Amino acid sequence: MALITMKLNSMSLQNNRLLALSAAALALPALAPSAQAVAPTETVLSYRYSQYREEDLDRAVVSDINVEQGGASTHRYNIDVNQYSFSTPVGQHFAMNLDVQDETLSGATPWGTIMNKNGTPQTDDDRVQVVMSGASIQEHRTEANLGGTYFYDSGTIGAVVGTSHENDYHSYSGGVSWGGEFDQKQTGVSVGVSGSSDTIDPTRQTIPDRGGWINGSDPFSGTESKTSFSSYVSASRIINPNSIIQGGVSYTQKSGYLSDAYKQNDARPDERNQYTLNGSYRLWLKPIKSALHADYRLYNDDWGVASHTLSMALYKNWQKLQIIPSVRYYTQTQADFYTVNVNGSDFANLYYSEDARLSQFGSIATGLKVVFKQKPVEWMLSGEYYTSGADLSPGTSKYLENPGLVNYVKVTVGVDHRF
Amino acid sequence: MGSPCQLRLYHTHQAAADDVAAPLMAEARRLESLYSRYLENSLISRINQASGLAPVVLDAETAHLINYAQTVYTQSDGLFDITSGVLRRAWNFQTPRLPVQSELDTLLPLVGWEKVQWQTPNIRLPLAGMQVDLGGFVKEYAADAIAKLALEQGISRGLVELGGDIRVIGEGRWPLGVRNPQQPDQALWRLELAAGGFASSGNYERHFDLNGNRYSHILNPKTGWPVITPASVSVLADSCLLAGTVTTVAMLKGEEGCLTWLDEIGLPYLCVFNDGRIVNRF
Amino acid sequence: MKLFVVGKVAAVGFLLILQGCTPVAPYQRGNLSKPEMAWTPCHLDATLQKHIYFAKEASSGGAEPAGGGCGCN
Repeated sequence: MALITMKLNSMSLQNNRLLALSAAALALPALAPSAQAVAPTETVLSYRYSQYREEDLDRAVVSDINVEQGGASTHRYNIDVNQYSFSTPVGQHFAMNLDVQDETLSGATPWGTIMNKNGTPQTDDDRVQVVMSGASIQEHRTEANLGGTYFYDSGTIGAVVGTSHENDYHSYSGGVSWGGEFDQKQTGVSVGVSGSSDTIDPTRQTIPDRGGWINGSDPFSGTESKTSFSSYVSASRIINPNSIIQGGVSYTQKSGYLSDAYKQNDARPDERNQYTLNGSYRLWLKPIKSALHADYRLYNDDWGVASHTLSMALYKNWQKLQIIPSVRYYTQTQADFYTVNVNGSDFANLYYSEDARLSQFGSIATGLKVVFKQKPVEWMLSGEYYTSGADLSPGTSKYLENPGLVNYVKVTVGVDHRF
Repeated sequence: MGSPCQLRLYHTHQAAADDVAAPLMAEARRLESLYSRYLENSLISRINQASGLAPVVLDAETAHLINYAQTVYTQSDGLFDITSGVLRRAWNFQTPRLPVQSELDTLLPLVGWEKVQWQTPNIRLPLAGMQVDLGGFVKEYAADAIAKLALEQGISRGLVELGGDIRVIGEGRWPLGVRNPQQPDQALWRLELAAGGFASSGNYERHFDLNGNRYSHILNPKTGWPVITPASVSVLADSCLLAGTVTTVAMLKGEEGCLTWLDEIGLPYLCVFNDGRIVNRF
Repeated sequence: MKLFVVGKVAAVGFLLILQGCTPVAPYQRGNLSKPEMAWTPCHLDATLQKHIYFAKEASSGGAEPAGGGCGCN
């Protein structure tokens, strides 16, 4: 008991001494706190070139059902991406950012899946097969986003507008956000809303009419559209001089034409409500001069999809190099209306889809990035391998795996120049 | 201010940074002309010249500085005393010579803040020959003053360094090295300062060695003798002034008392002892 | 329902963490302000990464500004 009292006394003594000195110091005109706005002071020009390559399919899982229509390709997508970014301060309290992304895509995509035999697959021989498009798809997509941020005493206000164009798809989006800092900047709060309006005008003439397998009708008469609205709240908190956490929730509502126009049997609800809950943690590991990143996201929607995403990365500084190994695990449940092989009886249902992305599966992505810093330039080289499969999500049958699931390799080279 | 100073400012335009730098240099010169004891016409010299005579009326800024010195005097239990500069008449750190006790005995009656008649804004040094000297913290105060002025001029990122004491302008990331007292040109510890101030003090700065003892320029105002200080102390705080004051008092507390003081204050610190022992609370 | 329960647990956990932490003064935030400690150290790389995952998986979104759509398939 005596010990505790002593400790309390010495603590109040400590506070008194520091408080007395601080108070006397703060009385000085030069030490009185003044409002300060912190805007970025550097102009940064960045460029990235990425090659994205999807692994070829195993011939055994590719159906030759529409070979005469150019299908049965075992190849999938190759995408080359150029990214440009320019960010600069404008005056003392304002910063602007322009990102442009340009993609060239070629290859083939799954149209749907089919059972080799009737009944539930039991062996390798009767596993699900994928019906592929021909290897002749060529696409080009250009996206641009322009953002501005205003910095004031204890927070920021941001706005962004963006647009994305393909020959068959156009998207316009915009959003506003606010970030504030409290409690001597120990706590941060951020909120934002954004929306987008998209139009889809399917143009690939080589694709058999969707539903044509059943009734020969053309579902692609005219243009379809969809809108989305998204909002989020997040809060961050400094825990100690070496770690900080963040937690947040988001809600997104999508409505309109949410089906995939390039799948044969695909009819999805015209509304989707998505919820996420996420947490992030950053820890500075002094002995190894590294920053540890851990991020988790819980996702749920009213299509029946729920998922977990866990990502970890280590930013290791080594002289002029920064080496960043990373790993990401993802697992999802299937959508309520997902069927591995849409057949006659499914068309009685309102909604159905064979899209691999709506099946139950898991994925693992491992990456390595190396940054070489030589002021004012930073060079970077990174690679990622992504593999997905039903067996990466607990409780699924490998014979029912949708062969449309993809593995890919991505390699990126880039440079940042600071002025 | 008698020691190397540097000013680093971040601005989108070099010309604008140059424009801002000019008033900041002027601020440094203003504080020097007011508070340097080496300048005959400085305010401090005028206070000292009036010792034993009439009170001197101080402006608000100087009055706050004197009040600050009084607070530090109280909090340091009388070790930090702006009247102790007069002891330098007996201590010349250019040549390794120990004063005889009689020299100190004639000076010690002139030392002691409690003797000063201080009634804001009037200050009177009652005994002829008494001196006040703000050199113990005015350099750190100048770093804060320049940083504040820079912020008001629209500089949101920068660094002011005055003789090794540092104040960050706004927020940023500034790599710092804590000097190794054994090899002052080498860093013992590296850290990054995001905001606020950093100050350090070491017995390698001004001292002499005689008969195997190191006599530092840190003098105990009560005995007139150098304190056996730790080899060096570095402190981080909201302001350079606070960091510098806590550092100086830690040196005055000596090898025996410095850790108690530093722990009581509770600011991040790094303390190196003469036997090489390091206590790192950064 | 499950989501809400998890949400509640997470919110309570977050509050507990908030209570447990001590004030960190601005001058102690040197490590926290390093660029590699940012939530998104490189936004360009993160943008492409998110875009690819969006095209491969059924989940998307998070507590950050959402962009526009694409006809990725």
